Amino acid sequence: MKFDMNQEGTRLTVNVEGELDVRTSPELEKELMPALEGITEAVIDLKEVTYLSSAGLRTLLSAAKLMDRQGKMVVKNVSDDVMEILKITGFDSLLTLE
Amino acid sequence: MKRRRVGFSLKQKIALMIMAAVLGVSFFIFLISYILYTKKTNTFYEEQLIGVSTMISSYLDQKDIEEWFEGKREITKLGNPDDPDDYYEYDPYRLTHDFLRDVGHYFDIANLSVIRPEGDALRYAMDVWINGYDPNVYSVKESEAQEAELSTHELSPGELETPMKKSRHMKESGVLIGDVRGETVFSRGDSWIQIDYPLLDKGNNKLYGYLEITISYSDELRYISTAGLQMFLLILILAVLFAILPVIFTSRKIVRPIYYLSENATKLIEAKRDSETTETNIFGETEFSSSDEVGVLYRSLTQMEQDMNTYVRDLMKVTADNERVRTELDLATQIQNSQLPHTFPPFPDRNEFSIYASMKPAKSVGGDFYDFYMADDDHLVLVMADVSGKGIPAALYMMISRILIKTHAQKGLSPAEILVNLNDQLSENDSVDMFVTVWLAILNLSTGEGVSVNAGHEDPVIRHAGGDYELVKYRHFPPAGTFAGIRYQERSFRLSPGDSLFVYTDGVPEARRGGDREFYGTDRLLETLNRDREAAPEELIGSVMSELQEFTGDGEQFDDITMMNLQYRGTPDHTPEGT
Repeated sequence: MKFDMNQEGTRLTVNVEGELDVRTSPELEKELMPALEGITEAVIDLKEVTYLSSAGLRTLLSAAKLMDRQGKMVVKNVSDDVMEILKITGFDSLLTLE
Repeated sequence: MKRRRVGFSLKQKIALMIMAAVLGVSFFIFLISYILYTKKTNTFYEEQLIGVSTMISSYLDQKDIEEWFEGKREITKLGNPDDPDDYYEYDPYRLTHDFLRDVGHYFDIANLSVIRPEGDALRYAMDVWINGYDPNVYSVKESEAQEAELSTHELSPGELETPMKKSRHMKESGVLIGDVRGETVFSRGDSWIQIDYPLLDKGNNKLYGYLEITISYSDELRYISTAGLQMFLLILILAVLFAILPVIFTSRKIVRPIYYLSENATKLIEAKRDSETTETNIFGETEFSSSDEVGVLYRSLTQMEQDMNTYVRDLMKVTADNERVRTELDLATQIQNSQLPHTFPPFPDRNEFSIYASMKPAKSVGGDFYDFYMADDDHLVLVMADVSGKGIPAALYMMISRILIKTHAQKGLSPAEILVNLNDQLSENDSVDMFVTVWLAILNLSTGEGVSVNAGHEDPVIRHAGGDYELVKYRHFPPAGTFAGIRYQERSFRLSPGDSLFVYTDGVPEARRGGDREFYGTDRLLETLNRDREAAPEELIGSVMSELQEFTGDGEQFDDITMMNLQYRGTPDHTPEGT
């Protein structure tokens, strides 16, 4: 898993690559959560994400809960495989997908 | 303890080093003094030779000498030869010879001669050996005499010898007999020195011969060598004696204390190795006082022992703590497992269905759980759930979820109502970012009619009698505990006798192969289920489990693996069509 964050004003774009599972999610969470401070629009780009485990979903949920209070969060470029996971876990209705 | 063999002991090394140093220094001193002495001796003899030569040359009579070169020796008779009291023979040769011998004696000279180079030969006017060739007397050695090109016996006046080197040597000085100047020529051997002092005509300063004086100091050198050797031996003995002192000192102050400390260190290691002993005070009890480096070593060792005690104490405490945590985790796992229904068949008097379920936790306490119980006499509640996360927090979350579901179910709420309540209650605490996926169904055992809700859980698998196991896909709601206020909706299904329902957690499809990390997936799951589609619940779950094990190989199990299978038989008195 690799990721990079790009902030423009109060907008933060996060590009994530690889597998977001129980081992890699904490890394993302550790960097992402402090970076969300003062952000009103967060864009999580999952284009290069091939697998999302429940730990990855938890990270997305934490971010979504935080952004729910201070703005909005969009998850975009979701691959078919990841979309399948989001559907099964009901996260498709929980997250704003683009 | 066995004393380990080392090449040289510290004691031996120090003794050898001191002795080598003292020997080196004394040899050096000896060498320097020898060289300096030899040099000094040379200068001393040179000066003495010039002085003696000047003195003798002023005494010598040129006319007499020229006659002696010709081999003439005139004796003048004086007085009356018949009267011994009045008779005297005047012999200048004899007088000169005696005079030279006396002078020679006085100055420790070996040979005195008056010579004149003629071509490659030397002509002698006079040749005086002071002590002859007696080696026991202070004298020139034969080898030295040869080297100095001296005659082997006293030559008579006018005799011609051909000592080639010497005459050539004189020639090389560039001064020839008859020249109006002279040149003093020195020759040296290892232990002799020779001067050829020019004899000049008092009138016209023309060179007419040389006075040659040879001094041998081999005896003196021999004496110096002997004295030097004796001194050397004396120093050697002193060196040994001086070496002994530091060795004794080293032994008493360094080697013995170090040996003592190392013995104690060995004792300490043995004591520490003995697991019974944790607190040791070996160095603390050691009586030892010294302000030097050995003392510093002793204090370091004492400190080290205390530190080791502290470390071992801490380590044991940490180990005990870890042990306690592990025990508590084991206990938590046991409690968690005991929460899940384990007795199969669970309802021996119920013939409408058979059920089997199993959970295999990934590490210690997991977050998966299954559950089934009768809500009332006719309704069976089935739960399959997966808490996000691991360990104690996940276990606590799981127990809360399980109890909340059961409480609501036994109150007679519908699956959607149960989920709405569960979600709102779990979402009350916003700071906990955990959630639980739940598949919940309530089955009417008489009719086979069921109501289910899927809160972010895996698709269930159903096999209708005579058919294949198939995934049942429909809309999933978000997991419970994510956001408050989710309106869960339920859907109805119907089981006919012979139908089979298989539910599981994501640990099954997301099991990964050790090598290429491929997922097991739902396709393989369906294949496995259909291979043995008629199998009873326990066998069915067993074959999926062994398939999974074969698939993952030596790959680590990352998630709990939980499965439940219900096979519906219906009731003879309540056919589905009957109600």
